[in-house]
Amino acid sequence: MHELSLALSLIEVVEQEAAARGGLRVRAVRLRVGALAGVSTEALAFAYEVACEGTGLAGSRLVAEATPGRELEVTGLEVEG
Amino acid sequence: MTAVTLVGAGPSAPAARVPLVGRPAVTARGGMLAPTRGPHGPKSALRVVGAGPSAPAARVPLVGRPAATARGGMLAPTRGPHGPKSALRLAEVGPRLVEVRCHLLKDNDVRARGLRARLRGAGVRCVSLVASPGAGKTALLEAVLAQCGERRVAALVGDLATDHDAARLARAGPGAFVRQINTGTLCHLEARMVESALEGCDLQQLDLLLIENVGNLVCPAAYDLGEDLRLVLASVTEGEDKPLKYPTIFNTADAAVITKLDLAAAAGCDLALLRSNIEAVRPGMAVYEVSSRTGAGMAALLQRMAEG
Repeated sequence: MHELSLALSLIEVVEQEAAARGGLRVRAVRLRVGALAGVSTEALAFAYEVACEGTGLAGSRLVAEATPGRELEVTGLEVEG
Repeated sequence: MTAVTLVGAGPSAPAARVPLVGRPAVTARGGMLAPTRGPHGPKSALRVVGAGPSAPAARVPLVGRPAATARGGMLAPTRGPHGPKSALRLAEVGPRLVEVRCHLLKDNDVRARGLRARLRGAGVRCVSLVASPGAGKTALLEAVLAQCGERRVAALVGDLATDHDAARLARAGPGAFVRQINTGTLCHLEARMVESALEGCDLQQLDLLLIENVGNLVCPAAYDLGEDLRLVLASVTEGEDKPLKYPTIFNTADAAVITKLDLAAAAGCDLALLRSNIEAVRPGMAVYEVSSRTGAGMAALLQRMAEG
């Protein structure tokens, strides 16, 4: 239900991590989405796609791994180079 | 804290969809890109990352002698369909996965921890209420404010729009620090909103901080507000199966409050069933039954709110 605001947080987190690593060009973001996190992966992916437009992450995609807990955690970035 | 390490491609890295032709290229990390034999060749240990639909360059076969780029990657001339326009493209220099451990709600969690420490340092108890719209959150807070007597109480109340609830609470607790938080379209409160709403509030002058979340049984579950006690409300008019339908919010709360007890008979509510449904979702959860209108059950709840 609040996937758009989560997508905005996600973009912020990924941009920070990418910048901290010297400006990575991110192709995909891997994250773990817990069953109890209250998040619809489909809605999050859609919100992410829309929210990415006009940012350095435009065109990147989400790779979500379903987990049983409450986690909502970025675990890795697939990057160019 | 966030740990960042560099690792190679994991087993789930996307497989290469692009055959690499010609000379092996030296990658940025000093490894070699082995030429593959296309889709039917032997499975190569080396795969090219990110040849998804959003990476058009990756669909172009790489041919000829690669050239080194400033970053140590390789630029290969291509023979793309549009000629010179696509003369140079960054070659696929191997899969790379940067491992990151970063909770998505990190910012909120950090702020919530800070709030909790500030409030505890000032000796303030913080209680938040979550429930569906119309469950009786504001009426409960009105009753709490009216019964607080000498206790010094502040209340923050979240809604998408209007300051109706803040006006009600200000009437119920004259002199109390009351702030409305309008979230616009947002379906929940976040720790930073609580921080902002508390600006100008002298925590040293407070005993109890009450926070009424936006009426919603889904999203508030994910956001820590720095509270010591989170109460989830279920009114007798909502149906006994609310806990079964919205287990997440019951799992993130510390205690449950059944509200509108005075309407139970009129609503035909089976209180035993409602209690057993809460127990089924969250075994051992404390359940308080109250009527904000008559004051029934309020003493026990007030005591819990005061002691955690």
